[in-house]
Amino acid sequence: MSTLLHVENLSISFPRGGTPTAPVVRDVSFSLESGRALAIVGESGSGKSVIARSLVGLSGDTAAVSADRLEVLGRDARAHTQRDWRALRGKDIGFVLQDALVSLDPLRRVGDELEEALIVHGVRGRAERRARVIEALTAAGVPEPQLRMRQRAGELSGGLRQRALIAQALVLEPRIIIADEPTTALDATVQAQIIALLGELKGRGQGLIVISHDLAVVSSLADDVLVLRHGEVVEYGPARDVLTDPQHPYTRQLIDAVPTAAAKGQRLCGGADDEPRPARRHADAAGRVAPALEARGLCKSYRGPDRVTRPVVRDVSFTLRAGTTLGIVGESGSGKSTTAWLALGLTDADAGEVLLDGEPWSALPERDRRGRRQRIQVVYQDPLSSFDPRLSVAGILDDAVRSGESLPTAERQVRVGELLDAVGLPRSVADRRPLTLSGGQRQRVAIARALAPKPEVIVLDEPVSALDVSIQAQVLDLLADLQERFGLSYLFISHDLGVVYHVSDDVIVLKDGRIVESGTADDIFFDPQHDYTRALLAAVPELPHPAAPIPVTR
Amino acid sequence: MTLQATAPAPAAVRAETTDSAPRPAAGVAGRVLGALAGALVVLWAVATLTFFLLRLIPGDPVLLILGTSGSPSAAVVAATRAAFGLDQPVLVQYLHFLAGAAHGDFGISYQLKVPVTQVIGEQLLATVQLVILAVVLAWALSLAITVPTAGRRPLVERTARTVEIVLASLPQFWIGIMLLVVLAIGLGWFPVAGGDGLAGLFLPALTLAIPIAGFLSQVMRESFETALKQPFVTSARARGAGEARVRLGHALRHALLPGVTLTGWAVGSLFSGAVVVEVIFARPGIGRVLLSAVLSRDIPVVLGVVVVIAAVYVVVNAIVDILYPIIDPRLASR
Repeated sequence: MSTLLHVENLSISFPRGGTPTAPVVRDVSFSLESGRALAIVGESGSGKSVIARSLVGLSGDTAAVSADRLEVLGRDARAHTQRDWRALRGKDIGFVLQDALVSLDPLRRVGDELEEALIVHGVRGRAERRARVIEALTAAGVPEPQLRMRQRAGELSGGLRQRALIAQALVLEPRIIIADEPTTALDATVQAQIIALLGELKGRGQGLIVISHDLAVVSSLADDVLVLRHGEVVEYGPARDVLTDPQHPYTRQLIDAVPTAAAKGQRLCGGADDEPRPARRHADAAGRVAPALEARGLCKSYRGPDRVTRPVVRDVSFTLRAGTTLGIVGESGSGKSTTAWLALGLTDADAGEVLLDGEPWSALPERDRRGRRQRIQVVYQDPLSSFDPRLSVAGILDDAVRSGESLPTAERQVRVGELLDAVGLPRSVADRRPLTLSGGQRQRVAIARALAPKPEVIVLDEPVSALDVSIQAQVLDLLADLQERFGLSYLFISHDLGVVYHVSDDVIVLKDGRIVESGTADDIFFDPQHDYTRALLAAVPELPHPAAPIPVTR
Repeated sequence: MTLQATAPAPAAVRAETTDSAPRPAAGVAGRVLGALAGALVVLWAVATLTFFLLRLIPGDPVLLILGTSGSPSAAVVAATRAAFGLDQPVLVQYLHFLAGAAHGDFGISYQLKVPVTQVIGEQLLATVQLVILAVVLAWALSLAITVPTAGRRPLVERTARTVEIVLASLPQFWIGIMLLVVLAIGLGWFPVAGGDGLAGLFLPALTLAIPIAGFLSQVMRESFETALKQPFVTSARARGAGEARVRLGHALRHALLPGVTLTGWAVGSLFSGAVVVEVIFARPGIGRVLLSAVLSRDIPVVLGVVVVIAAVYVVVNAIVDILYPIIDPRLASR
């Protein structure tokens, strides 16, 4: 075992026009041994990606990097020029970015991207290079490498794409691999495969640095964990110790924020007295007779660009009981979002119907639906693109209030204030534009907008998927509070099983547009009947959590 | 009833089996045929519109044909009218024109008294050479401005942008005269007027190229900078790729599409806009033909030139359409 990286008191700042600014990364120290994996964990803006880039000399022209020690493979890298770094990049250090769709050149063949690393490092002979490209693709678990190397990133599935991206970092067999959020955009099963692949690399003696905001993802992979907050190390040590016996409250908070079986029905962020309290009543059977939303035998097909008609939703039926949450789980392409659109009446079903509060909904012409649109609202994964960028938060909410009922201006202003209070935003946010808000704040605005017309049902389409775990926890808590307060019914769509289990009363599992399993959340998660459900559950990364005696999967 | 019940099944099977099958060759042939039909419609529409618009010009074309010298007798006028088919109703003249145009015959020039195709044919090559060289020079100039400077330090960036705006806004006649005064008369590097081969072609082509290079650089810089900020560029750098490779091998290709689109438009407008340069440099060319034909109301020549320019637009746009999926293969599957 040899030391591959040794970093002491690394600080990085981005001075503007000669004036020094507060460092983005301050006094970070760690080391990496061969055959081991170090996880750098933190929320967005914690400086983790900045650290990763500084290790390959890609912090950018404007960065000021200083360190007491910065040794790469035993050599002091503090005075490295770009030429020195170029010699290291790809050859000694492989770098894997997050989303392969944008991290591989969409115009070039995957094989050419891999070959580029060989060309710039002087590997002669086209045949030799081709052979090594195929070798690397095979090593990264890409089936049919001869075919895949002729395709472009956009033609590959998410999992294959990520494998190809890993392959391009592996092609020269570097001794250090840095993976920046390697699984964040992926479905649970694919995520599990990629983690297994990274684990294999570690087994071959390569040193691995994994950057992630998700503790659960790194827990199965990392030997050491470094928790980063505002650019400073909060905790650093062996993974077991950090994850099961965190010394710092921030680490604790990160661990608690992961929705797990143990935390169901409890707040994820903890109350003021830190005493777990039931966040949500369970559905009372004595409620209204009619379900809030009911789908019967929905079918929907789309015609692709090649004029082939593909069924996207096939015979989907479900019942959303009033005041409860129905979770819809499935991987990308399973028909989750189309189901949401059908429920919202934004697209017409080929067959089947949707009833809203026991009355016809999907069968109505849009003219008749419009008057009742305010009763069913939606929150999207990416709220920013659903806001008119010219409007302030107050303008967005005012617009939504007006769509519900006509009120005088003064009353509407009062209502906008109430909505901000309801979603836990300070009233000072009203004058700001969504672009200047954080991800969590934006999602709160989106929720406030959905609440504005006083709906009965809210469709939540991956509402927390783009958020950091601790922000995700706050938003999930907020949704639970609002449900209790206003008696809302949620149709909750997500690919994250932990989240779905945490929030749902009932769950349906979608695969290729069909429901493969449905039942109460506990039935689905503790006694799955269908192989696909079991596979999904097995793929969920788990924290070695001392406070979680009931693991989700077993 | 049974038919209805079983009918959907084969469709469903087909949908699954043809999932990833390549597009049938018939689709490509269909697209080519569609493009050809579209081109013909455009040419017909342009010809028709121009034909009827030119009818609105006041004055008797026969008097134009006969010239202003003396007052021709009524018999001569009638004979000329019949010879040029101008005694027919407008609709018959139109159909006659269409039938001729379909065979590449645009009639006889009123002024020169030779077939229009001959008038255009003699001048077309000169303009084609000029436009092709102008496009090549415009691309060379704009790549030289954009590729090394995009995404650099603010000072470099701002200087390059200023240069682009200046180039794009210079009037062509001014550029032409300046180039002539400095490079031809002052330094004597190029012939002042006319001149054979590349030497004579260079200055006029450069005159046309300079403003286009300014526009080209502006649109390409935009895409170039966007591409440089993409994660795949970081990936390439993390692989060890140097600055030149990142710029030429990755970012440039992403900047080509808007450049190619603009070039398609520029080629068409150069054909009709070359007249300023042709006059300044005393060169033959289709622009001058059009100018003198318009001034002398030589309707058949105007019609012929307009149709030729429309045809150039159609051909250039077809080439642009063919280039798109070669540059960006993602467009091929749409």
